[in-house]
Amino acid sequence: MAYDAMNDVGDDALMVLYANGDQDAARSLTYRHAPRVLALSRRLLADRAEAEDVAQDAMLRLWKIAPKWRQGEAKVSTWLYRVASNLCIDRLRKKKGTNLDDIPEPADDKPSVEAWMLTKDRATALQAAMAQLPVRQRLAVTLRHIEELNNPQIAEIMEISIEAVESLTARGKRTLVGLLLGQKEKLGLE
Amino acid sequence: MENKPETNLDMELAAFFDAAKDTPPALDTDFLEAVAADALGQTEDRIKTDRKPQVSGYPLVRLLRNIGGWQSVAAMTACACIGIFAGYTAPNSLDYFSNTEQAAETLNDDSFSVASDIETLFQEG
Repeated sequence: MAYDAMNDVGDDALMVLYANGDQDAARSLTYRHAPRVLALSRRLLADRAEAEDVAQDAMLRLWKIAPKWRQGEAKVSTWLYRVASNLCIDRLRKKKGTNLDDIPEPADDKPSVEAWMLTKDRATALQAAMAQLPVRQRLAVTLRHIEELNNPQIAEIMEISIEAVESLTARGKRTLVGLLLGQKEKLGLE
Repeated sequence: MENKPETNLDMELAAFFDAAKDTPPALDTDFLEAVAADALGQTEDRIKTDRKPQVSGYPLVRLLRNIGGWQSVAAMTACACIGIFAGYTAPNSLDYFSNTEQAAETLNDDSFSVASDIETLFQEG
C-alpha cells in the first residue's frame, strides 16, 4: 500500500498501525510530519545539516514512543514540534550565537523570475533578522506566523501560558520590524 | 516604534512572513527515506526485544526472579521458621496459641448436655 493511500487515516490510528508493525503507516507519518519538523528546525537553526539531524532525531523519538502512544492525549504534530523545538534550543544554547554568514539561502527549487528573486531576498532577510532574536522569541514567531499555529497550540508546544506566547511574539515582531526597517526599500516594500 | 499596535507590526512583517512561507526548505527525498528507514529499524529492534527471553543473569538470580523476588523468599523463610519452631516445641506449650483443650472442655460441659435435654424432650413426646 502506498503511503498516500492512508491520507484519510488520522495520526493516532497511524501510530497504532505503526506500533503493530505497519511500515506504510510509518511512511505516511513521515511524509505528513517530517517536512514540517524539518522546516521548523531549519528556521530555528539556520543550518540544513543540523536541521536534518534534529528532524530525524525527533521522528526517531516518535517511532520509539509509538507502542506507548496514548490516543487523544496529545496531537502528533504538537508533540513533534515540542520535541524538535527543545532539540533546536539545546543546540542553539550549546552554540551560543549563530554566525549570520552561515545562514543558508532558502530552497531554490522553483522557476527563477524577478518576483521569485524578490521573495527569496525577503525570506533571506527575515531569516537573518530572525537569527538575531532570542531563541524562544524566534520559536514563538516562527510557529505563529510561518507555521501558522494558534496561540493555544504554541503554548502547548512551548509549555508556557498563552499570555507568555503573546508577549514573546509581540516582542519578537517589534525587534524584527526594527531590524528589517532599513531593508524595506531594497526589498521592494516601499 | 515600540508602541506600535500588533496589527501594524503584522502588516509591516506580512510580506516577509509570506516570503518565508513561499520558500519552504527543499524536500530531500533521501532525508525522508532515512526517517522511514529509522521507523523500520525501530520495528525490527522491537521484534528482537520481544523475542528475547526476559530473564537473564546468574542462575540463582534468575531462580529468585522466577519465584517472585526477595518478597516471596522472605515470606517462605518466615513460614519455614514457624514450621521448625512448631516441630521442635513440646505440644503442650502450643496450647497457648490454640486454646483447643479449653474449648473442648467447654463443649463437653455445656453443648452436649443441652443436646441430651432436647433428645429427652423428643422422646417424651
